[in-house]
Amino acid sequence: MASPLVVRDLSKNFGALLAVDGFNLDIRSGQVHSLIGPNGAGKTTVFNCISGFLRPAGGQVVLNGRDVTAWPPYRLVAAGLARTFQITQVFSDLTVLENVALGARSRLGRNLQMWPRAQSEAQDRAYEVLDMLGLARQAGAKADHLAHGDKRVLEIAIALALQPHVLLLDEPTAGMSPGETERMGELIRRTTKHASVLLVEHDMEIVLGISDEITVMTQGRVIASGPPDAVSRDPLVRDAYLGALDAEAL
Amino acid sequence: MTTDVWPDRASAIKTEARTRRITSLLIFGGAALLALLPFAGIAPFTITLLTEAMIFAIWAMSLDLMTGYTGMLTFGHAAGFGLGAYAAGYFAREVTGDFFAALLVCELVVLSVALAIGFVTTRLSGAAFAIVSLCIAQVLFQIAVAWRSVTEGMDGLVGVPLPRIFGVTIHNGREFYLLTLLVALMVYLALRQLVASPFGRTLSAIRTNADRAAAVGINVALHKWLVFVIAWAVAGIAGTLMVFMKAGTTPMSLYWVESGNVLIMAIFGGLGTLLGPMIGAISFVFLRDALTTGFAVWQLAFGVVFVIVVLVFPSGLAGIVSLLRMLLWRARS
Repeated sequence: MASPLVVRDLSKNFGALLAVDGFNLDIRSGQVHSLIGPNGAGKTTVFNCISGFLRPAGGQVVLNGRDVTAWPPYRLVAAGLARTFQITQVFSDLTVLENVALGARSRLGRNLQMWPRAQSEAQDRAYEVLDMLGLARQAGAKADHLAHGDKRVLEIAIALALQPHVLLLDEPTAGMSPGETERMGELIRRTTKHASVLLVEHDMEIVLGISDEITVMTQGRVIASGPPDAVSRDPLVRDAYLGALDAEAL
Repeated sequence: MTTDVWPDRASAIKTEARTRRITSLLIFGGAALLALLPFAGIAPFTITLLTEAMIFAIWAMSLDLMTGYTGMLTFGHAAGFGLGAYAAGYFAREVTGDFFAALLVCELVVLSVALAIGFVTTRLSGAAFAIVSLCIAQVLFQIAVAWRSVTEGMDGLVGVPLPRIFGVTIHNGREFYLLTLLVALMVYLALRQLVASPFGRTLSAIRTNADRAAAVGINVALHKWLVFVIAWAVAGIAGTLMVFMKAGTTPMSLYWVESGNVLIMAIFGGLGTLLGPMIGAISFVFLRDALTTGFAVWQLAFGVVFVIVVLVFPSGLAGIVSLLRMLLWRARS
């Protein structure tokens, strides 16, 4: 089976600054693939290039065997790619259910429907996703009124409602308590039943705990890639990143 | 806040349906009251003011769809209004005073211009869009001033006949007022359906966070373009009514002051509510009338009222209505 997401020789510069330089990635189906590296390594830039929010300077993004380089975000979503954001971004004015229904409606191609309906297929699907992630009780609440941890889960619910093949998660545990972080880890693991996951994360415990593959980047380049134990033993990685951060956790 | 949590989805739907029913009651009751007014022996001048208020209400609602619901701030919403007025007025004078024919021609002109202009300008957002919308309205204003063979320049287009519907002439005063009221009611009902639809929810998502909306698979540019076109089309309806009411129009209908006025009406009444901009338009017309008799510079006095209302009720006059509704609800339970 073809890889759901392949990135070849991706590069991106902001003026003279080369943020991403010859980046390669190959995600296998149903796996959690983590992308780690120190701040400013270019992880979010890679995310933005893959998800169509930035136009890469060079290279190729292949989704399910299809070249989707520099496609606009809405087309990428239709092709099976969904993402979340580092800073929580839910639709604060809408209810939790409506937030997720937006995603479901996209999938069903009903965003342009101009007449209202009390109960719709999109809402049914949205409710199912919320139920699966344990947010169903808050379906009628305004998204703005959710606790921080629940908002992060809602982000993932919106993305899952798009029924993606590939899900990009940008620091889903940012600002979470240890308990919430653990819950999020389990949730991501469960997500692989539906989608392959590319995860950017700073919490090394989570990364080492749930990843099938890890890619390490510094200064816009990949310095190592492989299964967690191999990567954590890599002297180059220990040198450049892990050792300085928390050698004992390994 | 326990009231935010509805474990039962059916009850959420029921509550929404009840709110809609109450609003419907308010709207149809209000419309019936407004329809009876001219038979209650009020002065013809008041009927003229009411007619103008209803026309402005249609126009302000169209701005609300763009600015209130989609978050596209515009300083040039006179463009669709004035363009529609010129198209309908010119056609009515040169060809036929049939109301629907004039409206159709107006819409053909407004839609084609809005499709072209909107395609380019809706790629901008925030202040850039606001400024460009102002520029476009001013360009149309200059064209209206300079293209004398069609528009008669600053003198304005005159001699627009009375409108006819199925051959029946609609006279100024009571008859034309009722026509305007009916059109305003229909526009309100149509826009209310639109904002409650999936399309409407999508617009609200774009307003809150355009990037996030794109990540949910929404074609933001397409939606903003459609909203732009719909808003201009509705503004064109208002323009058509205005040109028949005044039997003509001048370039001033495209001027930036008018764009400012309609924005003020919508904010004064409460953006993102449809009902608010209607209330705002009515208040604007009657306050202007009351203030011009007492103040040399009526805008100065109106400005004070405007600032007080917006400071006390950031969500406009509609905010007062929802506050009253909440108090009523509290008192009952």
